[in-house]
Amino acid sequence: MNSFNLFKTCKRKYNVPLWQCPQFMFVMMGIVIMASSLFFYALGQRYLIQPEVLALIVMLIATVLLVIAFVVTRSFEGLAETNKVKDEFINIVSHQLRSPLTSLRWASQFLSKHKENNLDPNTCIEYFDLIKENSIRMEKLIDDLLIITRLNDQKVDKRKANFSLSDLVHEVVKEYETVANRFNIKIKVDQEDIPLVYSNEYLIRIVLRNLIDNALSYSLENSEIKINFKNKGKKLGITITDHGVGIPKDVKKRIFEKFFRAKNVIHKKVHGTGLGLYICKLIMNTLKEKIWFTSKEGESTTFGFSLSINN
Amino acid sequence: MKKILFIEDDNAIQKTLGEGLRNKGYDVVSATDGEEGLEFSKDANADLVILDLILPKMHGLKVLENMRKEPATAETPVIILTNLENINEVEQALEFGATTYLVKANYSLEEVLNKIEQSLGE
Repeated sequence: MNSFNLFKTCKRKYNVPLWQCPQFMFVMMGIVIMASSLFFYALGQRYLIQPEVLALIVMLIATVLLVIAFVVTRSFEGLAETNKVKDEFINIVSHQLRSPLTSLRWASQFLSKHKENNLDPNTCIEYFDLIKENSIRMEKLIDDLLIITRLNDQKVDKRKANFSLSDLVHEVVKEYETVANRFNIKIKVDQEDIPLVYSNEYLIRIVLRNLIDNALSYSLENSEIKINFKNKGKKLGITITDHGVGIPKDVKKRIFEKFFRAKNVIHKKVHGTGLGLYICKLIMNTLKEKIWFTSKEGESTTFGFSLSINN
Repeated sequence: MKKILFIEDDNAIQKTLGEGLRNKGYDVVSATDGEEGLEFSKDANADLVILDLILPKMHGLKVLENMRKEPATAETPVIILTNLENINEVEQALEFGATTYLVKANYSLEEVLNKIEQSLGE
């Protein structure tokens, strides 16, 4: 029965709005042709003695049909474009997955010949660290791809509950302490007494992880990342500010795009997939909340979002 | 001793292949982004350049195109070592005069080392 449901078919099969869906347009054209045939029959009966009126109406109907045909063509172009975007996505994903896999394979091959390669125990540990780092990188990419698929298919659990955003922030900051210490970056969290928020803790944790990871990637060594809360009555705002390279003006529009990474990333040891901010945007859209940023190139960047306060 | 300029941003690949080449007795100069690679290529006087394509600051194909414009590097053999397998990239790299196009994931470390040795005529 589902195949007769145009709404579901168009969404699932083509991921385009109903008016761009070929099946819908086909049904519409059929209806218009049948209606116009009946209309002409009725008109012919009435205006047989005035053929110019009939000709004018036929021309009008032909114009309508032409417009519909044009829309159908455009909808096919839209589908082709969607397919192209999907192909590009698959290409980038394959590249992103292959890179850590190659690193894993080559590092283990190099280690397996440790005698031939004159590797001392300390150097061996360095190679094991490389293997670990690349496994984490691959795991992160797979996690990112899975959450994107679930968000796009609307299969993610988006139920909301009350929780402490402050506690969550502290937990996430703790996860990033080692990386922050490596670059001597201090993450300072505002200690204000803040109310509970009403949202999805699992999804907000992902957003916070990505924003802090991003702040670390673009911060200068020996700098500070500030996390502040602002009680706006019905909403609780949170901002994450890094002091680093900022976002160049020409790429500001692309910052939430899939696989976009600004070229001025500083700490390449913090491996990014280029999906973090895209995921943040997807999550905030799913939760019907907004995410924003301000940035001054060469100075700082602030990302922020607001959540409803405990209801 | 033959000199190889290795332009690659992936730390693990730099370390494993770079060390593998050094163990075989080559002098390896490393660059970790496109701009640095292009800069090094002007003075390195390398016998061979190993070039990744997805690089920070400048795409590998742009590096190759610019290298070909410089008299000092116009004829230097260049091996493209990437995980991109699009026909467009392959065609463009060969058009800019790349000697070989290798997809990292398709080869073991040993196979890549052998191919580099072959390119240097050894």
